[in-house]
Amino acid sequence: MAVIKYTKEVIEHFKNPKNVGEIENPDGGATVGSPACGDQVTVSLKIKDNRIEDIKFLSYGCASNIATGSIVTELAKGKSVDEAKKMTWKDAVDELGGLPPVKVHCSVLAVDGLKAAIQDYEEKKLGIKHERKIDEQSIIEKLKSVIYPKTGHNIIDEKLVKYLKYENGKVEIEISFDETDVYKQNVLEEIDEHLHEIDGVEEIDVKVVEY
Amino acid sequence: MRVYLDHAATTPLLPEIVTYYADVLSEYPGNASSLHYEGQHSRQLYNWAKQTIADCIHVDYDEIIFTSGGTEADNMALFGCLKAIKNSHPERKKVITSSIEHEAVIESVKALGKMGYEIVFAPVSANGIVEIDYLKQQIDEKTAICSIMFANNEVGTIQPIRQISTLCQKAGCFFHTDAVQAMGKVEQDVNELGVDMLSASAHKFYGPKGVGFLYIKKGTPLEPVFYGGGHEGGLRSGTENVPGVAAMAKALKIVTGKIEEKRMQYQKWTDQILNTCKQIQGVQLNGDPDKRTPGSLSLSFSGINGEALMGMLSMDEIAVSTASACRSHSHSKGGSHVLTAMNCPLEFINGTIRVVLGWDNTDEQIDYFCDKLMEKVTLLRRLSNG
Repeated sequence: MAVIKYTKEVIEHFKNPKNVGEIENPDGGATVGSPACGDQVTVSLKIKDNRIEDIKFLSYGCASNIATGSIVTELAKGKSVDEAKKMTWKDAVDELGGLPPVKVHCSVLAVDGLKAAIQDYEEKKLGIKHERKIDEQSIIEKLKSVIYPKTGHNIIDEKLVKYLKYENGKVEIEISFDETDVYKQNVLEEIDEHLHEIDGVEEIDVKVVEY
Repeated sequence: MRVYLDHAATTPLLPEIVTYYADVLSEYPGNASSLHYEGQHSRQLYNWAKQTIADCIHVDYDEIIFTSGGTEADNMALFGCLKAIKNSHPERKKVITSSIEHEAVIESVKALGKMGYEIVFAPVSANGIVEIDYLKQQIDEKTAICSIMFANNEVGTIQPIRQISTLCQKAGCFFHTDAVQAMGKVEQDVNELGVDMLSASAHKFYGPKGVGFLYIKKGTPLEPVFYGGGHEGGLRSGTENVPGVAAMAKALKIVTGKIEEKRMQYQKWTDQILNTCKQIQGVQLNGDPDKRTPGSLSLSFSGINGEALMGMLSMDEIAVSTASACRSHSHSKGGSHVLTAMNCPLEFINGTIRVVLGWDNTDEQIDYFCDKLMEKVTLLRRLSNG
Protein backbone atom coordinates (compact mmCIF):
# COMPACT_ATOMS: atom_id res chain seq x y z
CA MET A 1 0.00 0.00 0.00
CA ALA A 2 2.91 2.25 0.60
CA VAL A 3 4.23 1.87 -2.91
CA ILE A 4 1.00 1.37 -4.83
CA LYS A 5 -1.34 4.34 -4.99
CA TYR A 6 -5.02 3.47 -4.91
CA THR A 7 -8.05 5.72 -5.48
CA LYS A 8 -10.61 6.46 -2.77
CA GLU A 9 -13.04 4.12 -4.51
CA VAL A 10 -10.61 1.20 -4.49
CA ILE A 11 -9.85 1.69 -0.81
CA GLU A 12 -13.55 1.91 0.03
CA HIS A 13 -14.36 -1.32 -1.84
CA PHE A 14 -11.35 -3.01 -0.25
CA LYS A 15 -12.36 -1.93 3.27
CA ASN A 16 -16.03 -2.72 2.85
CA PRO A 17 -16.42 -5.11 -0.04
CA LYS A 18 -19.97 -5.68 -1.30
CA ASN A 19 -21.54 -9.03 -2.22
CA VAL A 20 -19.08 -11.21 -0.34
CA GLY A 21 -19.98 -14.89 0.00
CA GLU A 22 -21.33 -17.81 -1.92
CA ILE A 23 -24.91 -18.30 -3.10
CA GLU A 24 -26.51 -21.58 -2.08
CA ASN A 25 -27.76 -23.60 -5.04
CA PRO A 26 -26.52 -21.06 -7.57
CA ASP A 27 -27.73 -21.01 -11.16
CA GLY A 28 -24.16 -20.56 -12.30
CA GLY A 29 -20.74 -20.36 -10.74
CA ALA A 30 -17.04 -20.42 -11.53
CA THR A 31 -13.60 -20.06 -9.99
CA VAL A 32 -10.80 -18.43 -11.94
CA GLY A 33 -7.12 -17.94 -11.10
CA SER A 34 -5.36 -19.93 -8.42
CA PRO A 35 -4.03 -19.32 -4.91
CA ALA A 36 -0.57 -20.30 -6.12
CA CYS A 37 -0.61 -17.26 -8.39
CA GLY A 38 -1.79 -15.09 -5.52
CA ASP A 39 -5.10 -14.30 -7.20
CA GLN A 40 -8.31 -16.26 -7.17
CA VAL A 41 -11.93 -15.21 -7.57
CA THR A 42 -15.06 -17.35 -7.18
CA VAL A 43 -18.35 -15.96 -8.55
CA SER A 44 -21.83 -17.41 -7.99
CA LEU A 45 -25.08 -16.24 -9.61
CA LYS A 46 -28.81 -16.36 -9.12
CA ILE A 47 -30.67 -15.66 -12.38
CA LYS A 48 -34.36 -14.82 -12.63
CA ASP A 49 -36.18 -13.90 -15.87
CA ASN A 50 -32.84 -13.68 -17.62
CA ARG A 51 -31.59 -11.09 -15.14
CA ILE A 52 -28.88 -11.36 -12.51
CA GLU A 53 -30.98 -11.30 -9.38
CA ASP A 54 -28.14 -11.94 -7.00
CA ILE A 55 -24.39 -12.31 -7.30
CA LYS A 56 -21.69 -13.02 -4.75
CA PHE A 57 -17.94 -13.43 -4.82
CA LEU A 58 -15.08 -14.82 -2.76
CA SER A 59 -11.56 -13.53 -3.20
CA TYR A 60 -8.20 -14.92 -2.34
CA GLY A 61 -6.12 -12.03 -3.47
CA CYS A 62 -4.61 -8.63 -2.90
CA ALA A 63 -6.40 -5.37 -2.16
CA SER A 64 -7.30 -4.64 -5.79
CA ASN A 65 -8.44 -8.22 -6.32
CA ILE A 66 -10.95 -7.73 -3.51
CA ALA A 67 -11.97 -4.26 -4.72
CA THR A 68 -12.51 -5.38 -8.31
CA GLY A 69 -14.54 -8.39 -7.14
CA SER A 70 -16.73 -6.01 -5.21
CA ILE A 71 -17.19 -3.49 -8.03
CA VAL A 72 -17.79 -6.09 -10.77
CA THR A 73 -20.51 -7.81 -8.74
CA GLU A 74 -22.06 -4.41 -7.94
CA LEU A 75 -22.10 -3.49 -11.63
CA ALA A 76 -23.48 -6.85 -12.73
CA LYS A 77 -26.30 -7.04 -10.19
CA GLY A 78 -29.66 -6.35 -11.84
CA LYS A 79 -28.25 -6.45 -15.36
CA SER A 80 -29.68 -8.79 -17.98
CA VAL A 81 -27.47 -11.73 -18.84
CA ASP A 82 -26.74 -10.22 -22.25
CA GLU A 83 -25.77 -6.87 -20.74
CA ALA A 84 -23.52 -8.55 -18.21
CA LYS A 85 -21.79 -10.54 -20.93
CA LYS A 86 -20.82 -7.28 -22.60
CA MET A 87 -19.10 -5.92 -19.49
CA THR A 88 -15.36 -5.39 -19.82
CA TRP A 89 -12.59 -4.91 -17.33
CA LYS A 90 -12.40 -1.28 -18.44
CA ASP A 91 -15.89 -0.72 -17.02
CA ALA A 92 -14.66 -1.97 -13.65
CA VAL A 93 -11.48 0.11 -13.75
CA ASP A 94 -13.41 3.26 -14.71
CA GLU A 95 -15.91 2.73 -11.93
CA LEU A 96 -13.03 2.48 -9.46
CA GLY A 97 -11.53 5.73 -10.76
CA GLY A 98 -8.55 3.86 -12.20
CA LEU A 99 -6.16 1.14 -11.06
CA PRO A 100 -2.37 1.21 -11.01
CA PRO A 101 -1.04 -0.48 -14.21
CA VAL A 102 0.47 -3.39 -12.24
CA LYS A 103 -2.98 -4.13 -10.81
CA VAL A 104 -5.10 -3.97 -13.97
CA HIS A 105 -4.88 -7.75 -14.32
CA CYS A 106 -7.03 -8.04 -11.16
CA SER A 107 -9.96 -6.41 -12.95
CA VAL A 108 -9.48 -8.80 -15.86
CA LEU A 109 -9.69 -11.72 -13.47
CA ALA A 110 -12.88 -10.45 -11.83
CA VAL A 111 -14.63 -9.93 -15.18
CA ASP A 112 -13.38 -13.31 -16.38
CA GLY A 113 -14.94 -14.81 -13.24
CA LEU A 114 -18.28 -13.17 -14.01
CA LYS A 115 -18.25 -14.38 -17.63
CA ALA A 116 -17.24 -17.90 -16.67
CA ALA A 117 -20.12 -18.01 -14.16
CA ILE A 118 -22.56 -16.86 -16.84
CA GLN A 119 -21.20 -19.47 -19.25
CA ASP A 120 -21.69 -22.10 -16.54
CA TYR A 121 -25.32 -20.94 -16.17
CA GLU A 122 -25.96 -21.08 -19.89
CA GLU A 123 -24.49 -24.54 -20.22
CA LYS A 124 -26.14 -26.08 -17.17
CA LYS A 125 -29.52 -24.36 -17.10
CA LEU A 126 -30.11 -23.49 -20.72
CA GLY A 127 -28.21 -26.33 -22.35
CA ILE A 128 -26.32 -23.92 -24.61
CA LYS A 129 -23.19 -25.55 -25.87
CA HIS A 130 -20.42 -23.03 -26.22
CA GLU A 131 -18.66 -23.64 -29.44
CA ARG A 132 -14.97 -24.07 -28.72
CA LYS A 133 -13.38 -23.47 -32.04
CA ILE A 134 -9.73 -22.67 -31.59
CA ASP A 135 -8.01 -20.59 -34.21
CA GLU A 136 -5.45 -17.83 -34.26
CA GLN A 137 -8.16 -15.20 -33.85
CA SER A 138 -9.58 -16.81 -30.71
CA ILE A 139 -6.09 -17.10 -29.26
CA ILE A 140 -5.47 -13.42 -29.91
CA GLU A 141 -8.73 -12.65 -28.12
CA LYS A 142 -7.54 -14.70 -25.16
CA LEU A 143 -4.17 -12.97 -25.12
CA LYS A 144 -5.98 -9.65 -24.81
CA SER A 145 -6.55 -10.72 -21.20
CA VAL A 146 -2.82 -10.67 -20.55
CA ILE A 147 -1.90 -7.24 -19.23
CA TYR A 148 1.56 -5.72 -19.53
CA PRO A 149 2.03 -4.47 -15.96
CA LYS A 150 4.24 -1.56 -16.95
CA THR A 151 1.50 0.19 -18.93
CA GLY A 152 -1.74 -1.50 -17.90
CA HIS A 153 -2.56 -2.32 -21.54
CA ASN A 154 -2.87 -5.81 -22.96
CA ILE A 155 0.05 -7.41 -24.76
CA ILE A 156 -1.75 -7.47 -28.12
CA ASP A 157 -2.45 -3.72 -28.11
CA GLU A 158 1.09 -3.16 -26.86
CA LYS A 159 2.26 -5.03 -30.00
CA LEU A 160 4.55 -7.22 -27.95
CA VAL A 161 3.39 -10.36 -29.77
CA LYS A 162 5.34 -10.54 -33.02
CA TYR A 163 4.31 -13.95 -34.32
CA LEU A 164 1.52 -16.39 -33.59
CA LYS A 165 0.65 -19.74 -35.08
CA TYR A 166 -1.85 -22.41 -34.06
CA GLU A 167 -1.82 -25.95 -35.41
CA ASN A 168 -3.04 -29.28 -34.00
CA GLY A 169 -3.22 -28.20 -30.39
CA LYS A 170 0.09 -26.38 -30.46
CA VAL A 171 0.46 -22.62 -30.03
CA GLU A 172 3.64 -20.93 -31.13
CA ILE A 173 4.26 -17.37 -30.06
CA GLU A 174 7.12 -14.93 -30.43
CA ILE A 175 7.11 -12.03 -28.02
CA SER A 176 9.60 -9.19 -27.72
CA PHE A 177 11.03 -7.70 -24.55
CA ASP A 178 14.00 -5.55 -23.66
CA GLU A 179 16.68 -7.63 -22.03
CA THR A 180 16.23 -5.77 -18.75
CA ASP A 181 12.41 -5.81 -18.65
CA VAL A 182 11.44 -6.69 -15.06
CA TYR A 183 7.95 -7.77 -16.13
CA LYS A 184 9.09 -10.38 -18.63
CA GLN A 185 8.74 -13.39 -16.36
CA ASN A 186 5.40 -12.21 -15.11
CA VAL A 187 3.97 -11.81 -18.63
CA LEU A 188 5.29 -15.22 -19.71
CA GLU A 189 3.59 -16.87 -16.73
CA GLU A 190 0.34 -15.06 -17.51
CA ILE A 191 0.43 -16.18 -21.16
CA ASP A 192 0.94 -19.77 -20.08
CA GLU A 193 -1.87 -19.57 -17.56
CA HIS A 194 -4.39 -18.04 -19.97
CA LEU A 195 -3.65 -20.34 -22.89
CA HIS A 196 -3.87 -23.42 -20.71
CA GLU A 197 -7.43 -22.37 -19.89
CA ILE A 198 -8.40 -23.05 -23.53
CA ASP A 199 -9.64 -26.61 -23.94
CA GLY A 200 -7.77 -28.25 -26.77
CA VAL A 201 -4.51 -26.32 -26.37
CA GLU A 202 -1.95 -28.95 -25.52
CA GLU A 203 1.37 -27.38 -26.20
CA ILE A 204 2.56 -23.82 -25.79
CA ASP A 205 5.85 -22.64 -27.20
CA VAL A 206 6.74 -19.06 -26.33
CA LYS A 207 9.96 -17.60 -27.68
CA VAL A 208 11.36 -14.32 -26.41
CA VAL A 209 12.89 -12.35 -29.21
CA GLU A 210 14.52 -8.94 -29.37
CA TYR A 211 13.51 -6.48 -32.01
CA MET B 1 -1.49 5.60 16.95
CA ARG B 2 1.03 4.67 14.24
CA VAL B 3 2.71 1.34 14.85
CA TYR B 4 5.89 0.79 12.87
CA LEU B 5 6.84 -2.89 12.60
CA ASP B 6 9.14 -2.82 9.58
CA HIS B 7 12.54 -2.31 11.21
CA ALA B 8 14.30 -4.65 8.77
CA ALA B 9 13.48 -2.19 5.96
CA THR B 10 14.81 0.75 7.94
CA THR B 11 14.85 2.09 11.48
CA PRO B 12 13.92 5.60 12.59
CA LEU B 13 16.76 7.70 13.99
CA LEU B 14 16.95 7.53 17.77
CA PRO B 15 15.77 10.86 19.19
CA GLU B 16 19.21 11.61 20.65
CA ILE B 17 20.77 10.86 17.24
CA VAL B 18 18.44 13.36 15.55
CA THR B 19 19.75 16.08 17.88
CA TYR B 20 23.35 14.98 17.60
CA TYR B 21 23.24 14.65 13.79
CA ALA B 22 21.79 18.16 13.47
CA ASP B 23 24.42 19.57 15.84
CA VAL B 24 27.25 18.02 13.82
CA LEU B 25 25.73 19.30 10.58
CA SER B 26 25.92 22.86 11.85
CA GLU B 27 29.07 22.68 13.97
CA TYR B 28 31.38 20.75 11.63
CA PRO B 29 31.22 22.45 8.23
CA GLY B 30 34.83 21.72 7.30
CA ASN B 31 36.13 19.24 4.77
CA ALA B 32 37.93 16.57 6.79
CA SER B 33 40.75 16.57 4.24
CA SER B 34 41.49 20.30 4.65
CA LEU B 35 44.44 21.39 6.75
CA HIS B 36 42.93 24.51 8.35
CA TYR B 37 41.05 24.61 11.63
CA GLU B 38 37.62 23.76 10.13
CA GLY B 39 39.11 20.82 8.30
CA GLN B 40 41.02 19.43 11.26
CA HIS B 41 38.03 19.93 13.55
CA SER B 42 36.01 17.69 11.20
CA ARG B 43 38.92 15.26 10.84
CA GLN B 44 39.02 14.75 14.60
CA LEU B 45 35.36 13.80 14.74
CA TYR B 46 35.78 11.56 11.69
CA ASN B 47 38.63 9.71 13.35
CA TRP B 48 36.63 9.39 16.57
CA ALA B 49 33.75 7.86 14.57
CA LYS B 50 36.05 5.31 12.97
CA GLN B 51 37.65 4.35 16.29
CA THR B 52 34.22 4.05 17.95
CA ILE B 53 32.93 1.72 15.26
CA ALA B 54 36.12 -0.35 15.34
CA ASP B 55 35.73 -0.70 19.14
CA CYS B 56 32.06 -1.71 18.87
CA ILE B 57 32.89 -4.65 16.61
CA HIS B 58 36.30 -5.47 18.17
CA VAL B 59 38.57 -4.66 15.23
CA ASP B 60 41.30 -2.10 14.53
CA TYR B 61 40.85 1.50 13.43
CA ASP B 62 42.41 1.04 10.00
CA GLU B 63 40.25 -1.96 9.20
CA ILE B 64 37.15 0.22 8.65
CA ILE B 65 36.27 1.96 5.37
CA PHE B 66 33.26 4.26 5.35
CA THR B 67 30.81 3.88 2.47
CA SER B 68 27.42 5.20 1.39
CA GLY B 69 25.68 2.13 2.83
CA GLY B 70 25.38 -1.63 2.66
CA THR B 71 25.02 -1.90 -1.11
CA GLU B 72 28.23 -0.01 -1.73
CA ALA B 73 30.07 -2.01 0.93
CA ASP B 74 28.95 -5.29 -0.68
CA ASN B 75 29.97 -4.12 -4.16
CA MET B 76 33.30 -2.85 -2.86
CA ALA B 77 34.07 -6.15 -1.13
CA LEU B 78 33.24 -8.33 -4.12
CA PHE B 79 34.49 -6.28 -7.06
CA GLY B 80 37.36 -4.65 -5.15
CA CYS B 81 38.82 -7.87 -3.81
CA LEU B 82 38.44 -9.78 -7.09
CA LYS B 83 40.11 -6.96 -8.99
CA ALA B 84 43.01 -7.06 -6.52
CA ILE B 85 43.68 -10.80 -6.85
CA LYS B 86 42.98 -11.12 -10.56
CA ASN B 87 46.64 -11.12 -11.53
CA SER B 88 48.14 -12.75 -8.46
CA HIS B 89 45.65 -15.66 -8.41
CA PRO B 90 44.42 -16.21 -11.98
CA GLU B 91 43.37 -19.77 -11.09
CA ARG B 92 40.79 -18.57 -8.57
CA LYS B 93 37.73 -17.87 -10.71
CA LYS B 94 34.91 -19.17 -8.55
CA VAL B 95 32.54 -16.95 -6.54
CA ILE B 96 30.25 -18.67 -4.05
CA THR B 97 27.21 -17.17 -2.38
CA SER B 98 23.84 -18.36 -1.06
CA SER B 99 20.43 -18.36 -2.72
CA ILE B 100 18.95 -16.12 0.01
CA GLU B 101 21.30 -13.13 -0.15
CA HIS B 102 20.17 -9.54 -0.41
CA GLU B 103 19.95 -8.21 -3.99
CA ALA B 104 23.11 -6.15 -3.40
CA VAL B 105 25.07 -9.41 -3.32
CA ILE B 106 22.94 -11.51 -5.70
CA GLU B 107 23.03 -8.93 -8.48
CA SER B 108 26.75 -8.25 -7.96
CA VAL B 109 27.48 -11.96 -8.22
CA LYS B 110 25.34 -12.26 -11.36
CA ALA B 111 27.32 -9.39 -12.86
CA LEU B 112 30.55 -11.24 -12.00
CA GLY B 113 29.11 -14.25 -13.81
CA LYS B 114 28.74 -12.14 -16.94
CA MET B 115 32.36 -11.04 -16.53
CA GLY B 116 33.48 -14.68 -16.75
CA TYR B 117 33.59 -15.85 -13.14
CA GLU B 118 32.12 -19.21 -12.27
CA ILE B 119 29.26 -18.41 -9.89
CA VAL B 120 27.65 -20.76 -7.37
CA PHE B 121 24.45 -20.17 -5.42
CA ALA B 122 24.43 -22.50 -2.42
CA PRO B 123 21.03 -23.93 -1.44
CA VAL B 124 19.50 -23.50 2.01
CA SER B 125 17.53 -25.84 4.28
CA ALA B 126 13.80 -25.46 4.86
CA ASN B 127 14.80 -23.39 7.92
CA GLY B 128 16.69 -20.93 5.76
CA ILE B 129 20.19 -21.97 6.87
CA VAL B 130 22.79 -22.40 4.16
CA GLU B 131 23.73 -26.05 3.50
CA ILE B 132 27.14 -26.35 5.08
CA ASP B 133 27.87 -29.71 3.42
CA TYR B 134 27.30 -28.16 0.04
CA LEU B 135 29.70 -25.34 0.90
CA LYS B 136 32.28 -27.90 2.05
CA GLN B 137 32.21 -29.44 -1.44
CA GLN B 138 32.26 -26.12 -3.26
CA ILE B 139 34.83 -24.07 -1.35
CA ASP B 140 38.13 -25.17 -2.87
CA GLU B 141 41.46 -23.99 -4.23
CA LYS B 142 39.68 -22.51 -7.30
CA THR B 143 37.46 -20.31 -5.15
CA ALA B 144 38.24 -16.60 -5.04
CA ILE B 145 35.52 -15.30 -2.71
CA CYS B 146 32.69 -16.71 -0.70
CA SER B 147 29.98 -14.27 0.40
CA ILE B 148 27.33 -15.45 2.86
CA MET B 149 25.06 -13.07 4.77
CA PHE B 150 25.22 -12.93 8.56
CA ALA B 151 21.45 -12.74 9.02
CA ASN B 152 18.71 -12.88 6.42
CA ASN B 153 16.57 -9.80 5.79
CA GLU B 154 13.28 -11.62 5.22
CA VAL B 155 13.22 -14.44 7.73
CA GLY B 156 15.97 -13.33 10.12
CA THR B 157 17.91 -16.62 10.18
CA ILE B 158 21.50 -16.39 11.39
CA GLN B 159 24.03 -18.27 9.27
CA PRO B 160 26.92 -20.40 10.61
CA ILE B 161 29.52 -17.72 9.86
CA ARG B 162 32.26 -19.12 12.13
CA GLN B 163 32.04 -22.53 10.43
CA ILE B 164 32.12 -21.01 6.94
CA SER B 165 35.10 -18.80 7.74
CA THR B 166 37.03 -21.92 8.82
CA LEU B 167 36.22 -23.57 5.47
CA CYS B 168 37.42 -20.49 3.61
CA GLN B 169 40.63 -20.24 5.60
CA LYS B 170 41.43 -23.88 4.82
CA ALA B 171 40.84 -23.33 1.11
CA GLY B 172 42.74 -20.06 1.11
CA CYS B 173 39.87 -18.02 -0.30
CA PHE B 174 38.41 -14.75 0.98
CA PHE B 175 35.21 -14.61 2.98
CA HIS B 176 32.79 -11.70 2.98
CA THR B 177 29.62 -11.43 5.04
CA ASP B 178 26.78 -8.96 4.60
CA ALA B 179 25.97 -8.18 8.23
CA VAL B 180 23.52 -5.37 7.47
CA GLN B 181 20.63 -7.11 9.27
CA ALA B 182 22.69 -8.33 12.22
CA MET B 183 24.59 -5.19 13.22
CA GLY B 184 23.15 -3.79 16.43
CA LYS B 185 20.97 -6.85 17.02
CA VAL B 186 23.59 -9.52 17.59
CA GLU B 187 26.89 -9.09 19.45
CA GLN B 188 29.65 -8.62 16.85
CA ASP B 189 33.12 -9.86 17.73
CA VAL B 190 34.31 -9.59 14.16
CA ASN B 191 37.93 -10.42 14.90
CA GLU B 192 36.84 -13.68 16.51
CA LEU B 193 34.47 -14.49 13.61
CA GLY B 194 37.36 -14.95 11.22
CA VAL B 195 35.78 -13.12 8.27
CA ASP B 196 37.89 -11.08 5.85
CA MET B 197 35.23 -8.53 5.01
CA LEU B 198 31.94 -7.46 6.56
CA SER B 199 29.32 -4.91 5.41
CA ALA B 200 27.00 -2.80 7.55
CA SER B 201 24.56 0.04 7.04
CA ALA B 202 23.71 2.77 9.59
CA HIS B 203 20.01 3.10 8.85
CA LYS B 204 19.39 -0.46 10.02
CA PHE B 205 20.64 0.40 13.51
CA TYR B 206 18.93 3.75 14.12
CA GLY B 207 21.57 5.83 12.35
CA PRO B 208 21.13 7.96 9.23
CA LYS B 209 20.47 6.73 5.70
CA GLY B 210 23.22 7.01 3.11
CA VAL B 211 26.10 5.86 5.28
CA GLY B 212 27.62 2.48 6.13
CA PHE B 213 30.95 0.76 6.38
CA LEU B 214 33.04 -2.13 5.21
CA TYR B 215 35.32 -3.93 7.63
CA ILE B 216 38.34 -5.25 5.81
CA LYS B 217 40.80 -7.42 7.70
CA LYS B 218 44.40 -6.22 7.61
CA GLY B 219 46.23 -7.81 4.69
CA THR B 220 43.14 -8.50 2.60
CA PRO B 221 43.83 -7.30 -0.95
CA LEU B 222 41.44 -4.62 -2.17
CA GLU B 223 41.42 -2.31 -5.18
CA PRO B 224 39.20 0.76 -5.23
CA VAL B 225 35.89 0.72 -7.06
CA PHE B 226 35.69 4.55 -7.08
CA TYR B 227 38.64 6.65 -8.18
CA GLY B 228 39.28 10.25 -7.22
CA GLY B 229 40.90 12.26 -4.46
CA GLY B 230 42.36 9.28 -2.63
CA HIS B 231 40.21 9.39 0.49
CA GLU B 232 40.09 6.40 2.86
CA GLY B 233 43.63 5.42 1.99
CA GLY B 234 42.84 5.58 -1.70
CA LEU B 235 40.26 2.83 -1.36
CA ARG B 236 37.15 4.97 -1.41
CA SER B 237 37.46 8.42 -2.91
CA GLY B 238 34.83 11.03 -2.18
CA THR B 239 34.62 13.81 0.41
CA GLU B 240 34.17 12.39 3.91
CA ASN B 241 30.59 12.37 5.18
CA VAL B 242 31.45 13.69 8.63
CA PRO B 243 27.93 14.14 10.06
CA GLY B 244 26.85 10.78 8.64
CA VAL B 245 29.69 8.74 10.08
CA ALA B 246 29.57 10.54 13.44
CA ALA B 247 25.84 9.86 13.80
CA MET B 248 26.39 6.27 12.69
CA ALA B 249 29.13 5.75 15.28
CA LYS B 250 27.06 7.28 18.06
CA ALA B 251 24.06 5.12 17.12
CA LEU B 252 26.11 1.92 16.98
CA LYS B 253 27.64 2.66 20.37
CA ILE B 254 24.21 3.18 21.96
CA VAL B 255 22.65 0.17 20.26
CA THR B 256 25.55 -2.17 20.99
CA GLY B 257 25.26 -1.40 24.70
CA LYS B 258 21.65 -2.53 24.80
CA ILE B 259 21.65 -5.71 22.75
CA GLU B 260 20.83 -7.99 25.68
CA GLU B 261 18.14 -5.74 27.12
CA LYS B 262 16.41 -5.50 23.74
CA ARG B 263 16.71 -9.21 23.12
CA MET B 264 14.69 -9.91 26.26
CA GLN B 265 12.10 -7.29 25.45
CA TYR B 266 11.68 -8.58 21.88
CA GLN B 267 11.44 -12.15 23.14
CA LYS B 268 8.44 -11.19 25.26
CA TRP B 269 6.75 -9.45 22.33
CA THR B 270 7.46 -12.14 19.76
CA ASP B 271 6.07 -14.75 22.21
CA GLN B 272 2.93 -12.66 22.50
CA ILE B 273 2.60 -12.36 18.71
CA LEU B 274 3.23 -16.08 18.21
CA ASN B 275 0.60 -16.87 20.85
CA THR B 276 -1.87 -14.75 18.93
CA CYS B 277 -0.93 -16.69 15.79
CA LYS B 278 -1.63 -19.95 17.61
CA GLN B 279 -5.14 -18.72 18.33
CA ILE B 280 -5.58 -17.58 14.74
CA GLN B 281 -4.46 -21.05 13.48
CA GLY B 282 -3.10 -21.91 10.06
CA VAL B 283 -0.01 -19.74 10.60
CA GLN B 284 3.53 -20.81 9.85
CA LEU B 285 6.64 -19.15 11.26
CA ASN B 286 9.27 -19.16 8.51
CA GLY B 287 12.95 -19.66 9.25
CA ASP B 288 14.76 -21.28 12.12
CA PRO B 289 12.84 -20.95 15.42
CA ASP B 290 16.04 -20.33 17.42
CA LYS B 291 18.83 -19.13 15.15
CA ARG B 292 17.30 -15.79 14.26
CA THR B 293 17.80 -12.09 14.91
CA PRO B 294 15.75 -10.94 17.91
CA GLY B 295 12.39 -9.42 17.02
CA SER B 296 12.15 -10.71 13.42
CA LEU B 297 9.13 -12.73 12.37
CA SER B 298 8.16 -13.95 8.92
CA LEU B 299 4.61 -15.26 9.18
CA SER B 300 2.62 -17.13 6.53
CA PHE B 301 -1.16 -17.31 6.85
CA SER B 302 -3.15 -19.95 5.02
CA GLY B 303 -6.06 -18.81 2.86
CA ILE B 304 -5.15 -15.14 2.57
CA ASN B 305 -2.96 -12.91 0.48
CA GLY B 306 -0.14 -11.13 2.32
CA GLU B 307 -0.54 -7.94 0.32
CA ALA B 308 -4.20 -7.73 1.30
CA LEU B 309 -3.29 -8.27 4.96
CA MET B 310 -0.59 -5.62 4.75
CA GLY B 311 -3.12 -3.24 3.16
CA MET B 312 -5.74 -3.91 5.85
CA LEU B 313 -3.22 -3.33 8.64
CA SER B 314 -1.94 -0.21 6.92
CA MET B 315 -5.42 1.30 7.02
CA ASP B 316 -5.35 0.83 10.78
CA GLU B 317 -2.00 2.62 11.03
CA ILE B 318 0.18 -0.48 11.29
CA ALA B 319 3.24 -0.78 9.02
CA VAL B 320 4.41 -4.29 8.13
CA SER B 321 5.79 -5.52 4.81
CA THR B 322 5.11 -8.49 2.58
CA ALA B 323 8.66 -9.49 1.66
CA SER B 324 11.67 -7.22 1.84
CA ALA B 325 11.05 -3.60 0.94
CA CYS B 326 13.16 -3.78 -2.22
CA ARG B 327 10.95 -6.54 -3.60
CA SER B 328 7.77 -4.54 -3.13
CA HIS B 329 8.79 -2.39 -6.09
CA SER B 330 8.59 -5.15 -8.63
CA HIS B 331 5.52 -7.11 -9.45
CA SER B 332 6.55 -10.72 -9.51
CA LYS B 333 4.25 -13.63 -9.11
CA GLY B 334 7.10 -15.83 -8.03
CA GLY B 335 7.32 -13.79 -4.86
CA SER B 336 10.15 -13.91 -2.37
CA HIS B 337 13.34 -15.58 -3.61
CA VAL B 338 14.20 -16.35 0.01
CA LEU B 339 11.01 -18.29 0.77
CA THR B 340 11.23 -19.95 -2.64
CA ALA B 341 14.77 -21.14 -1.85
CA MET B 342 13.44 -22.50 1.46
CA ASN B 343 10.90 -24.58 -0.51
CA CYS B 344 7.98 -22.78 1.04
CA PRO B 345 4.80 -23.60 -0.98
CA LEU B 346 3.64 -20.74 -3.23
CA GLU B 347 0.31 -20.48 -1.45
CA PHE B 348 2.16 -19.78 1.79
CA ILE B 349 4.59 -17.38 0.15
CA ASN B 350 1.68 -15.32 -1.14
CA GLY B 351 0.20 -15.24 2.36
CA THR B 352 3.33 -13.93 4.07
CA ILE B 353 3.98 -10.78 6.07
CA ARG B 354 7.20 -9.72 7.76
CA VAL B 355 7.03 -8.21 11.23
CA VAL B 356 10.23 -6.74 12.65
CA LEU B 357 10.24 -5.08 16.07
CA GLY B 358 12.33 -2.10 17.09
CA TRP B 359 13.31 0.32 19.82
CA ASP B 360 10.34 2.62 19.30
CA ASN B 361 7.72 -0.10 19.94
CA THR B 362 5.75 -0.25 23.22
CA ASP B 363 3.66 -2.85 25.08
CA GLU B 364 0.55 -0.94 24.07
CA GLN B 365 1.51 -1.06 20.39
CA ILE B 366 2.10 -4.82 20.44
CA ASP B 367 -1.28 -5.38 22.15
CA TYR B 368 -2.93 -3.27 19.45
CA PHE B 369 -1.11 -5.13 16.67
CA CYS B 370 -2.14 -8.54 18.04
CA ASP B 371 -5.80 -7.47 18.23
CA LYS B 372 -5.74 -6.08 14.70
CA LEU B 373 -3.89 -9.08 13.30
CA MET B 374 -6.55 -11.43 14.62
CA GLU B 375 -9.36 -9.20 13.34
CA LYS B 376 -7.92 -8.73 9.82
CA VAL B 377 -6.93 -12.35 9.25
CA THR B 378 -10.42 -13.47 10.29
CA LEU B 379 -11.96 -10.91 7.95
CA LEU B 380 -9.79 -11.87 4.97
CA ARG B 381 -10.39 -15.56 5.53
CA ARG B 382 -14.11 -14.92 5.51
CA LEU B 383 -13.58 -13.14 2.19
CA SER B 384 -11.79 -16.11 0.68
CA ASN B 385 -13.82 -18.96 2.19
CA GLY B 386 -17.24 -17.45 2.76
